[in-house]
Amino acid sequence: MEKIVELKNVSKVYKIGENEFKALDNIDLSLNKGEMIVILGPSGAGKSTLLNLIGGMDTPTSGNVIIDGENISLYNENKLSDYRAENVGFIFQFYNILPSLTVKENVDLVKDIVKNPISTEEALKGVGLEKHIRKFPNQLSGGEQQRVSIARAIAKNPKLLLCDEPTGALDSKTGVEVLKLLRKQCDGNNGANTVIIVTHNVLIADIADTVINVKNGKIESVVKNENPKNIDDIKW
Amino acid sequence: MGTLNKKILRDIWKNKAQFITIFLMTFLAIFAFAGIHGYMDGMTYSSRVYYENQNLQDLWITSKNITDEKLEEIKKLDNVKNAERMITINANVIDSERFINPLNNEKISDLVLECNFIETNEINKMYLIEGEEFSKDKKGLWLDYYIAKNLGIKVGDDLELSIEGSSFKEKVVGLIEVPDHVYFIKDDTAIFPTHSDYGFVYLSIDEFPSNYIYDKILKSDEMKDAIDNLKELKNKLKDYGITDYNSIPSMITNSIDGIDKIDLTKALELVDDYDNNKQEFIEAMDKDFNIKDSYIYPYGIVDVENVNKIDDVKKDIKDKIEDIVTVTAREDNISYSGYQREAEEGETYSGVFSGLFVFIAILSVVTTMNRFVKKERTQIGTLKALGIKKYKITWMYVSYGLFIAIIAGILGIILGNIAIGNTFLEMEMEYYEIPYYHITTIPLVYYVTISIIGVITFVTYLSCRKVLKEPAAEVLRIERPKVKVRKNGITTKKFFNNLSLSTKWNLRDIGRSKARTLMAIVRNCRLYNACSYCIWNVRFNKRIYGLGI
Repeated sequence: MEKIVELKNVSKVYKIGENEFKALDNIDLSLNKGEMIVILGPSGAGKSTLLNLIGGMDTPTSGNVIIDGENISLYNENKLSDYRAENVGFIFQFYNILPSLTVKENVDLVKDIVKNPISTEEALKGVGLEKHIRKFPNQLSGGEQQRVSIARAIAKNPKLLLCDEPTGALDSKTGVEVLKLLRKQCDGNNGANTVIIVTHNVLIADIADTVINVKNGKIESVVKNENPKNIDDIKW
Repeated sequence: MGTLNKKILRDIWKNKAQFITIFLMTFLAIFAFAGIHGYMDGMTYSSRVYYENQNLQDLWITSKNITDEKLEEIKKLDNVKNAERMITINANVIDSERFINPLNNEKISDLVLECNFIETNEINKMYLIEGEEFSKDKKGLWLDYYIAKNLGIKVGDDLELSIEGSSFKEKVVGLIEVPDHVYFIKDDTAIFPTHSDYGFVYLSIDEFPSNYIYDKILKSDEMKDAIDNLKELKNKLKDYGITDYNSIPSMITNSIDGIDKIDLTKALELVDDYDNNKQEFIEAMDKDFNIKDSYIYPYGIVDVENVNKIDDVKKDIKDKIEDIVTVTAREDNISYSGYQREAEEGETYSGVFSGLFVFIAILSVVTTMNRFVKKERTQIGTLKALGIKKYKITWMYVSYGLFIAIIAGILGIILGNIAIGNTFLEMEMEYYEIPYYHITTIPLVYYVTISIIGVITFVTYLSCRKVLKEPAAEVLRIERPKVKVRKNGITTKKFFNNLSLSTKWNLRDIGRSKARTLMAIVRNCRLYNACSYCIWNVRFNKRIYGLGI
């Protein structure tokens, strides 16, 4: 299968005061295009750091991050912005939608930065929020806010949809709805879209095509899931 | 409107208290600067135009007497465009009690008018508010417009004046303002013109009261001796039984000095009652008498061709013209310099107030934007994660300060000119006599406004720069609170633990936010500073100007 992400000898070291903290320790990783990938691990394992490096939100201390054949670890800040704008959609645990913009305006934001976005209306219809376009985030439930976040991410029509604990702040039922939307995104576009989910919820691993276990800044295992579960069959 | 612009407007509205502080301080800085400059520069510009249009003199001359010959000599000097002379003398208005002083609603017991008798009016030209243009051949007087307005004197009214007991009556033919009488005070003890018991008038030299001259001649020692001699002669003639003065023996007349200039017969007839026949008697005593030869012109004014050579002209007048007492330039003239001083006085205020408000505005920007950016940290991270370029995010945050400063700047200039400029200019012009005036906005005001906007914008940028520089992942991470535990820190002392929770909390916050604490102290100090400066200034002025305290 075609590779979308390749990490070669990647390390990430953070300096906290006079101390150094190795978040990722010389890891190698390859991810296939069109898969739903779940990165599992306890808090502080390095899974969010891994996601940030893949998403161009941070740069590695050493090693190469190659996305779709491009070594983005060589990019400067400006090029990384372009990379994020054109290729990556982010979904955060606490939604991170802008509180002073309406639902529609939050999604409209991507129009200013992406060359060929999906229409706002289509994106919102896809997540079932077409009737809430004039509402402000504080008028929505947590699940609805996360759906706005998904709509904003998929409106960019990204190659990579990176989700950091997307169901972490949601109840089981709403979480399942969100996961269904993510699967829908992954299955769309003739299998060209890749979804990477970072979570510490092991139950979510059952729906993934590939499961990566991270521990102490190292890849502990990469497991291919031959028979991913139906999302409706999981609950927590 | 772009989505980010909508965000800017909604964020400003949501955080209106903080942004209103920035707006108000920036606005007040520019409001004070533009307003004070509006009236100050308005005063300067209006006077400059007025002086130029009315051809204010460049030099003032005092002399024992500027005779016809001396005036011609002055006019012929290098760099002298024109020169005029005048008699200036104070006159009391007879029956001044018919006028009411508008300042205290009391009758005016002593109304004094400075009378300027002139021959021509090419220099220091009168500005006619109402009535007829000046001409040497016209009778009547041209009265100070301000005193006329205050006392309700109109064109056509009669005024009876008295100069050292010599009275004369004149009709008011014009109401005027004159460029060298812009700041016109009674004497050195006065600070402000009252325009109620002291004013000025201009008259043709032909209107100079002849009685005043006759009295001066009759009271001179020379004339007194002549009168005594004449009376003695008359007594002797009486002793000789000569009562027909047409037939006085030549042996007597020949013994009198200058007899050919005297109409002895008439003089002897009038000598006992000369007080009632002053003109005839003086003409009898001097057959060649011409009253104009008796005028003494102590004052002259000079229009200079090239003001850069004014010192040369001054020197020439002093060196080449006889009996010159003083030659002074505009800067030495109380009207000119008094007005200029007043116009420049605002410079101090504009600097102090604008500086103070700019300083507070900068502090407000620093604290507001620091807090605001901290609060928006996650949103900045989200925008970065979405792929919005750093310069766009920077521009968005800088524009909070920029837009507010621009609006404050525009409103500051407009309202400063209207509220401070116009009000102060109107107040000033109640004292200073300038017929046409308006506020003026000089380029400096725009430059300062642009600079203030620039400073506010730059400080806004500096406040956001740290967060904007961080990578997206770092910005999205929860900021670790800055807590440093030191061995000898106050929080570890025993007595500290006995303090109340709120006191401990406050002290630790002060320790953590040293810059903000310092700013709060400095900001308050500056406010007290400004207040005490104003109080001191008012007290100082009152003491100096004798207005109480």
